[in-house]
Amino acid sequence: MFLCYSFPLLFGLLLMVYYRLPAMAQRGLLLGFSIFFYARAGWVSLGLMVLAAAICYGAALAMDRWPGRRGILWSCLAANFSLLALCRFCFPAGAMPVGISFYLLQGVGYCVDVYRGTIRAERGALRFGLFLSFFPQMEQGPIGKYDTLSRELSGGRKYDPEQVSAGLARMAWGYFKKLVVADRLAVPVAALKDCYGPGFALLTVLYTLRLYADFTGGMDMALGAARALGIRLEENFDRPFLSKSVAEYWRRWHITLGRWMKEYIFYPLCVSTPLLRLGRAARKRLGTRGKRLSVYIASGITWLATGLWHGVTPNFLLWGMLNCAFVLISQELAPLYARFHKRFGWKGKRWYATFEMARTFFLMNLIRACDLFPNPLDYVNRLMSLVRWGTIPELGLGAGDWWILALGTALMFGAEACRERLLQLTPDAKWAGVAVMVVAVLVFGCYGPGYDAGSFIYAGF
Amino acid sequence: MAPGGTLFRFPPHFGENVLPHGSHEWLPYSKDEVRLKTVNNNLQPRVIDELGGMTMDELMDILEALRPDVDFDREEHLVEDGILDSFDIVSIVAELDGVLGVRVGAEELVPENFNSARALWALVRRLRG
Repeated sequence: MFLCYSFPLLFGLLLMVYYRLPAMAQRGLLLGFSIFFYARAGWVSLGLMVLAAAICYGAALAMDRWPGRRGILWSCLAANFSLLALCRFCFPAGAMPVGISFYLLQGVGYCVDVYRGTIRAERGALRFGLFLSFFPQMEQGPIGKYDTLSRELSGGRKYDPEQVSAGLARMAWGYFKKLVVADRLAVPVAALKDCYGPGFALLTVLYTLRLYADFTGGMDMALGAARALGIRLEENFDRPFLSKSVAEYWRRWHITLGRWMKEYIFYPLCVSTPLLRLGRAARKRLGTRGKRLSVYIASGITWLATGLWHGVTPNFLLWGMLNCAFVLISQELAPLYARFHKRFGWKGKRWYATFEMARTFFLMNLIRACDLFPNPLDYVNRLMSLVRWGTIPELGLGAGDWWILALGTALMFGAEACRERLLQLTPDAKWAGVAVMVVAVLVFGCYGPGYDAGSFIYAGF
Repeated sequence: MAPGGTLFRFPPHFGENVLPHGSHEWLPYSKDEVRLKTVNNNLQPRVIDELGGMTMDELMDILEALRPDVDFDREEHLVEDGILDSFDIVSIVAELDGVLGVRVGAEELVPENFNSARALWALVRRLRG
């Protein structure tokens, strides 16, 4: 959607009309645009979105009418996850109906919140439809919660030139990351997919950079577009490469998915009767060590679910288990680390923090590379090959492309690191920066024949 | 601090057991127990009451055993400041169930209930009815 040639024109038209309308008409216009974009993606995409919205809307009203009826909630969950499972098996990876993995989670979260009594069911069908289908979050989220998102979507936004310009600037930044950096990196990543040894090591680094630029670029477009409409969506990233551990990485990367998994899978599992009983029994038999058994089992199930959300091929299950293993190993070794740091006093030193960030970066590169190999044995072979010597093939980019990539990547990380300082620049300086971004996208962007700029990596999950 | 933490059976003589920071005042809470409130420090008063044989000190013991590096007497933004993460929260819930017999539902696992020891005690009191 963001990457269609017609999107800037359509979005410009929307902005021109939107702020002249009263609240109800603003909501109607947004809903109309959302349905239009889903319909452009295909009748299957639109039909599934309408079906999911009807299921969640109806189930929530029923739970509001008959509180505590677990059967309604379970039916709703079964229907939604069956839809998701059906799509996973019927459509090839990367060709799923648009947004289904995201709006289904959003709808399920809404239904569970109504069941728990933390929110009331939405009576307005069109209001609920807008909550589920709001077009900036169509392709890659963020996965919103009803209490905050519905307030933002209630309409009645007045034109604020600062909000609109901040939103448009953020969109320009997103287009830069996606079209100049991410799509340019797709070429060497494709060239390195069959490599072992140093070629595989380089692949892991380039793929991580590509994924970061692609996903955060898409998020900047989504959050920028929403902000230009006076609507604040939730941030999905918080400088993940500053993470010092795998657990911290997952608090900074795809934040809304991590929150969803925590609130609707991890926590309910931990407080479920079977796991609490297991915890009590383990405490009696194993003492202190048994206390954490039920938490670790819940963690394992949550990571399996996270892996399955990304894909149903075995590599995603391995991906989930690898992440889980590193998080749990860190937990178990925490007392040992604490004693070590007390003895040597390295914690808090800048060089040690840099070491921790570099360690986490390279570890996550290796884990993320699992996405690329549907056969886990192939992935394990590649990992083992890291100790062998090998050659790196022709990567398909010229010297100019590598310079653009180097500058683009430096700009990407530099801007993230200096975010606060950039926000304090004068408006003229900010607009100069946006103009540079737009020119860079037009001149150096990877679009047109020979490029697959029309898709995002995460939109395929 | 006197042995036994902040609980005293009888009010001490004036001037004894003075805390190192700021002034303090002794407030009678019940006929033979007192509650210590430190005016200038940010110590949260420990609620010395009995709830079916359970006191807040038992809760504090659980918290301090799980995270001995955290000052649960002072901290009031445990979740918001990232001091407690989701593992800590579910470990606390498991301990509340295993040791104190208090069952916490998933809808109660919100930051407001875990931001401070006082908030957690209020949750326990509410769930114990």
